[in-house]
Amino acid sequence: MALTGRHIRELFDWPLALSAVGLVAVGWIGLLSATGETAASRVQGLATVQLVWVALAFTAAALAVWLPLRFWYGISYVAYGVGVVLLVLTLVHGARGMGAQRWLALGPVHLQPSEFGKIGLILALSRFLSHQRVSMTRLSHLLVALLITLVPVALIREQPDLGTAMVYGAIFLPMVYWGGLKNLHLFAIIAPVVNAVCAFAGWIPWTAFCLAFVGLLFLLRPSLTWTVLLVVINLTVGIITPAIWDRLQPFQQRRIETFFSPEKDPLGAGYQIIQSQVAIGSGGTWGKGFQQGSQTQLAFLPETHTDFIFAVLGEEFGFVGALVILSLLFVLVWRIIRMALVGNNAFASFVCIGVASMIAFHSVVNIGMTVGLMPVTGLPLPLVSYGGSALLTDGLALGLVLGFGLRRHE
Amino acid sequence: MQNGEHAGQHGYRSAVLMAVIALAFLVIAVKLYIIQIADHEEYVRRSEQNAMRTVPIEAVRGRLLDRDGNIIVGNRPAYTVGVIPAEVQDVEYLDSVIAPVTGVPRQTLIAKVRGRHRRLHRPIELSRDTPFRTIAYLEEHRHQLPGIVYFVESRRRYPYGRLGAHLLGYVREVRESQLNALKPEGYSLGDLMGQSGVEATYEEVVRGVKGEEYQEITASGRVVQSQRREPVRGSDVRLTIDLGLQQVAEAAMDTIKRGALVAMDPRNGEILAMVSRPTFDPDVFSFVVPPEVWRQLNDDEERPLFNRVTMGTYPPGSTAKMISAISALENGILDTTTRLRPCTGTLWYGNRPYRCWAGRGHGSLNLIHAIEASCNIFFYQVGERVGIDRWGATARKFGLGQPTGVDLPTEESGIAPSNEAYHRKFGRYRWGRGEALNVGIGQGITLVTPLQMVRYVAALGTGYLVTPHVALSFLDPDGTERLAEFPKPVPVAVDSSLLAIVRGAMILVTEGSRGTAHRSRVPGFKVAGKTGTAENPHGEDHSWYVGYVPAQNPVIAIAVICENAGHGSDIAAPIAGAVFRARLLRQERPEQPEGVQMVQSSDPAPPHP
Repeated sequence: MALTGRHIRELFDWPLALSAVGLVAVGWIGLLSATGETAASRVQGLATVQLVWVALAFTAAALAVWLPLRFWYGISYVAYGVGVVLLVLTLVHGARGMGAQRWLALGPVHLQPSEFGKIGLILALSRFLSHQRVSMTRLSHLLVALLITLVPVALIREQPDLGTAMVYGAIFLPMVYWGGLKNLHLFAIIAPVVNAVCAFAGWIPWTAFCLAFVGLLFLLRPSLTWTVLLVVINLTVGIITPAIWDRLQPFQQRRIETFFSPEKDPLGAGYQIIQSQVAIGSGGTWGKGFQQGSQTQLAFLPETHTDFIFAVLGEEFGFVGALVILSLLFVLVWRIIRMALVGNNAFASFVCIGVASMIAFHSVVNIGMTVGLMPVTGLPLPLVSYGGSALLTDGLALGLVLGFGLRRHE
Repeated sequence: MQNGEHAGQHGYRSAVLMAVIALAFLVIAVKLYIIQIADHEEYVRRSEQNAMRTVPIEAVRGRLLDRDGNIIVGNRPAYTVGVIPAEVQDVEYLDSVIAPVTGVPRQTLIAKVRGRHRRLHRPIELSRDTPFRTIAYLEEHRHQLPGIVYFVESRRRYPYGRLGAHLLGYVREVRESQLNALKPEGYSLGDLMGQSGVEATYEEVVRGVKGEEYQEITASGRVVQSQRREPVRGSDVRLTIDLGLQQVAEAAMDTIKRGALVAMDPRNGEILAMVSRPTFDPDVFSFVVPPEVWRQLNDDEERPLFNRVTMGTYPPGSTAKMISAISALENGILDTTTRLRPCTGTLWYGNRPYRCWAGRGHGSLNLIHAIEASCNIFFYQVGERVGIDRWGATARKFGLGQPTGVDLPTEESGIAPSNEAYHRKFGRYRWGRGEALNVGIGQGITLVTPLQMVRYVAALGTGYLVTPHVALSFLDPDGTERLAEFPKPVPVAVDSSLLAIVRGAMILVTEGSRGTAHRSRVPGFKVAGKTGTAENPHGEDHSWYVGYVPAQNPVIAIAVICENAGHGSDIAAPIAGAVFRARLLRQERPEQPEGVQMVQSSDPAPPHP
């Protein structure tokens, strides 16, 4: 069914599109500030480059809106497969940068396949989960979904890029939850993860976890088999976590250590977190003004144009500016999740949940990092951070969601 | 593909998802509130601290001038070559050019630029005290060598080499181990600091006041804006040293291996020349001292860093016989006519022979001729009669056994003997009564420094005990001259008639037929002096000379010791004579640069009180 003018007027989700455009605009302002005269020469002029990426992302979004639902359903497994192949290529031929191997050189452009891989994963999971005979109440189906997720995760872990690998997990969980995962099973999946984090953090968080664990077991009232299984798994996790710690990459260990106590190493690994907090904190209510942030302009902030763009904006536009960004992101995520409800197509609904999860997770982890609530993971802030691959991915994803909105009655 | 099966459940599940996300956003908003509004002030303070840096600017050290304004220790520019990693384009190429030019080993530059400093805008040091030729080359090829910089530091220049090394002292960079103690005084790592001699005593005067540059910097050290507070250069110190005389003294002392010489104006304590042998080259301390050089200087048995003028302690030998004489006269033990037992070359006391240096003996002598001939037998008897305590008391009147108060960092007090001192050294009455005899000829436990001896001989000549000093005045950068102040000379508590008797005897030492210091004579002037031969348990005798000239109104007093060199009359007296003649006959004056003459040097002046 062709899209008519009436469709576009009535069914196009303007709040979603406008909040996305707003975020891109805010990001570009931050980029102007982060790459101004005082910045290192290697980042100067990136604001212009970003305009090209914005145009490309806009084209990608328009393309995604224009292509029918059937097309996306059809290519979902192919897209996933291509994504996996690209990840393998990256491992073999990838360009090195920042102690990791994440980029694939395409002529002068460095692409990050793990970004595009997210779309592949969302499409593939959506197709699998929307299949009528697939039910998340069945363990075998859950395991297939898990396998679909773990293949790219394993490849990214090899790069190594813990942050992006975590995003894949963050996409998987809400989607299977949306697919009807039982609360008990959700609990069984989440508990060991929270358990591991708490075990890292020390005795007090771990004790708190144990209490919450027992409380939830009591609420969910699982069968005896499940209870025994959950207890055994969680005890094992609690015990082997220190062993896993030893096998992490040194820079991953440092990042985790630094997250728990950044002040211990103010010039080394803790530097980024401290400087970022100083930048945001010194911004105050209204901020220091555009291109007036001393932390940014004097380059005390690391990676201002990518991972720490929120700190630039927080310093120069203050609490008010930060709340505006938070609100835009929240509106964006809310409109996408709403889109999952209004359509009558299960595949589209799953895609929307996947995209919403991806954007929400990126936002929370990135901003959480800049304010010192989360470890340094290197996840960009969606639509705001500089970076072509991420922007193209986000544009494509939002285009899909907007397109599904227009075709919600098909 | 139809959705609806889970429609009701989806409403609930979307609410759960939104709630989780909303909660996360809320936590972030609260944290933002905490750091941006609640703790705002604290973060503002930290951000300001971040952006400002204070870079100290070295002050040029004050120079050391001789009494006529000749520069003895000056300053020279020293060039340090560095590399700013952030500006380097082709590190391999740069390394291949810089290594042969500066003499820095290959790969050094690559190693410094790589590593963790790659984005640094602050220079990293490559080569210090680089020859000017290299700097000229770098300047010429500046455009082909991006990232290479050089800066000028001020270093000590010693136009006369080793001249007066002990007196002037040396400077060294403040080391890590000293930093904690020196930080409160404003020193930082690598600052030059006087470590001995005048450089140390007048450190506060010559070091100047460091300047500061307040820089607004980026995290990698690139300066965005800066403000300067200029450093204040240190004041010059005009020394009492007479360059020409110092040169003569240095040349004269080159004839011996170990020893010391100090020449002083007896009227006011101004030190005119000071030499210690062996010596060292103060220039080796200008930059980081290689450990092997430092070890060599410290382990050398001859102790070249040791200033023997203020720190060397020796038995005074016969040069102390004037103390015996005065002690005997003031205690009424003898007068100028008294003759003691004649000298036959040996004096038996108890069961031990005490010998005179003249084996055949001097015969019967009075006090004056005993000094002239330096007869030991006569002074053994004086020592016995005066006793250790009274001898020591007289010695202290002339400043022995106590610091002279000289403006140099370390000086020994020596020992003026007393029964108490003997008890302390050997145990109560564990020493023989014959020790009094030894004291009488300047042996025993008495120990003196050459500086104490020049002060003592000057006091004999003038009747006043002065504070020896090396600083005359301080020339501030604004042109004002402040005089260095020292305690005024104090009269020696000895009757002037007694001093006159001894002076007469000392003239005979040089001029008399039996005198031992003929070789210190100055044509046209009467020299008063005394040689000495100090026995020491470790080897050959030390050769002493003390004296002053002109005898009537002295303008220069001198003390010379030559370690293990034998008789004073043979070695020390000729050295002193050369210095005397230089002072009085104005031979061998250095060429005076135009316009530097600041104060008329004092020529033989009217009689002193």
